[in-house]
Amino acid sequence: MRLKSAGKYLKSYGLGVQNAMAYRTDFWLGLVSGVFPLMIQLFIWNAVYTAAPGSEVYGYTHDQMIAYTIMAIVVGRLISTGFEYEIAGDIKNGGLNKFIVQPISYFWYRMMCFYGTKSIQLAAFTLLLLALLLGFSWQSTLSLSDDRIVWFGISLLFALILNGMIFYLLSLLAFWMTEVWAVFIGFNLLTNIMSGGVFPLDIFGPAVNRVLQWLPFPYTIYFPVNIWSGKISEAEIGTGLVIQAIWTVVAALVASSCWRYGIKKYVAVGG
Amino acid sequence: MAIIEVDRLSKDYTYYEKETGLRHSLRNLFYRKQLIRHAVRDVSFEVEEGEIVGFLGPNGAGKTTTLKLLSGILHPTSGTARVMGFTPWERKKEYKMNFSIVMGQKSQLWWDLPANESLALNKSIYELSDRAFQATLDELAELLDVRDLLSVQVRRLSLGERMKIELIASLIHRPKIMFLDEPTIGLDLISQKNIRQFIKTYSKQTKTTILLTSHYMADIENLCKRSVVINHGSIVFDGELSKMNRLVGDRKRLRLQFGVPVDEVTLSRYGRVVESGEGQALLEVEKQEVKTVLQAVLDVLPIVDFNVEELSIEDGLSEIYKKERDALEVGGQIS
Repeated sequence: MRLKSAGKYLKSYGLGVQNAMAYRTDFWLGLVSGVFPLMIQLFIWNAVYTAAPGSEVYGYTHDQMIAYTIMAIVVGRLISTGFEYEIAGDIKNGGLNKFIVQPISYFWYRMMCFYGTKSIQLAAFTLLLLALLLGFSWQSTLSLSDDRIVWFGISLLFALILNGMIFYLLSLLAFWMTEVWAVFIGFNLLTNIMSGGVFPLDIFGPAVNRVLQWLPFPYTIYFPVNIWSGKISEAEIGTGLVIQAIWTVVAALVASSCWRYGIKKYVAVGG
Repeated sequence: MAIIEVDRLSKDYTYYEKETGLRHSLRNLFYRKQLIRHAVRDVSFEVEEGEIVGFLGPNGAGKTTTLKLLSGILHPTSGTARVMGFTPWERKKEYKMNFSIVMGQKSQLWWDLPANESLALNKSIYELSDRAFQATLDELAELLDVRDLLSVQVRRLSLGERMKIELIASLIHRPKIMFLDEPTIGLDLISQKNIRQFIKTYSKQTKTTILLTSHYMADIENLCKRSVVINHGSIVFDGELSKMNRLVGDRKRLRLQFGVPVDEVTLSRYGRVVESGEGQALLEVEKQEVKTVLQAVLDVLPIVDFNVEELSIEDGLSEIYKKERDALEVGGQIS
């Protein structure tokens, strides 16, 4: 991006910010709706830990497990995209035309918009967190240690960018398929599980975990949450961040060649 | 040198046959018959700088596809096009900075934003200076009389109002070439007239090259000296619209009114019956035969009133379409 053309992407970012403001109820409702799966999980884990009092399950104490579950849901919400439906709509209904004929990159427009929306949500989340920490002294419940919060923040940011790339790549599927909703929903569900958005990945056993480590998904939720909880050693944090970066680049490269093929297939419906 | 040069441009679409019913749907899972539609076939033409050229043709003739090819939205199947020295589908930034396309059926505005913010976004997309932007905006808003619409959210504008904003958005960077695809579609007569008037004034002032498609004859007649008639993807006429009727022969139409109904068979003895019934008929005859036919009919048939009419351009057009269809049927291949 040259400096002169930075203006249009700054504007795109602004659009995302505006969007987040306009649909703030949506965001909070989304966060609140996370309470229901949380409740179910709390019941399950309470039952599990009562059956074996004082022990660890998959290497997590009761409090750690609860903290993980809460944080996984929050991180999952914070990095969730949602633009895949808009992109698929643009491809299917010809909305892409506008971007083909105007001197603006569709990719950067979408991404900057996404980052704009997420900035507001992250800011709101940070405020909420501060309120909880200071007002209700939740420090112990969320098992937070001061030096980790910075690393958590960085890994969350990387996770956000990585997840954005993954879902951008996924949305390009619309070039080859007219109806992609089912795929999106299925993919969302599956990757949420593989990312550790539902349970800590340790539950699936070492064999599955070895496979999962080779996929980008654990680096979107499991990794940042475990930085927070202190399950990951300082040394591993660095490696994890590098892997996040590598996956982001890989996804970006694949997406860019998919785009090149897809756009040739694009038929610009109507007439 | 021509600003637009199109040489044997073709675009085929492939699509799949889809019959109704569950049984066919299931079969389609395993086997789909692929069909090819020649949306644009071997189209060649040139446009000089400052010209306004109208593209005429029925729905699905290939007008929009041609414009989409020229604006780089689509890749052609074969052929070449040079617009201001650029190949459109290479989608060079320098090219994008110098043309615009308006599609009547597809808004390029940002629906959730007020009109002026949508325009401001275009300002940064086209990297315009504040001064250039403001000057152009003032001028266009004045011409189109939309000052008070600018703060309204785009999705709340009426179709006619939106089209005006659409035009401003597409002209804000002062393009050298403008593609207008059905700019008046769905508009009421007054709005149509306003849009038309604007395009006319604007092109006169700025000498912008304009390619316009429409199936409203009035748009084309008003704005374009030269028309390209396109049907089934091929150009069937290219030239001055008023001369088009010569292509289908110099003929006139006799509108006859009878005291008592006359059947078609009797009428067909005097010329081609275009329509008949309810004590009236419309006959088409060669220009030089008008007098003789008229005398004969007046002598024999119970004429109450009659009128001699020129073929309208619409009539001429439908003649051309019909001729071409007949030719295709004789050739036995409609692809």
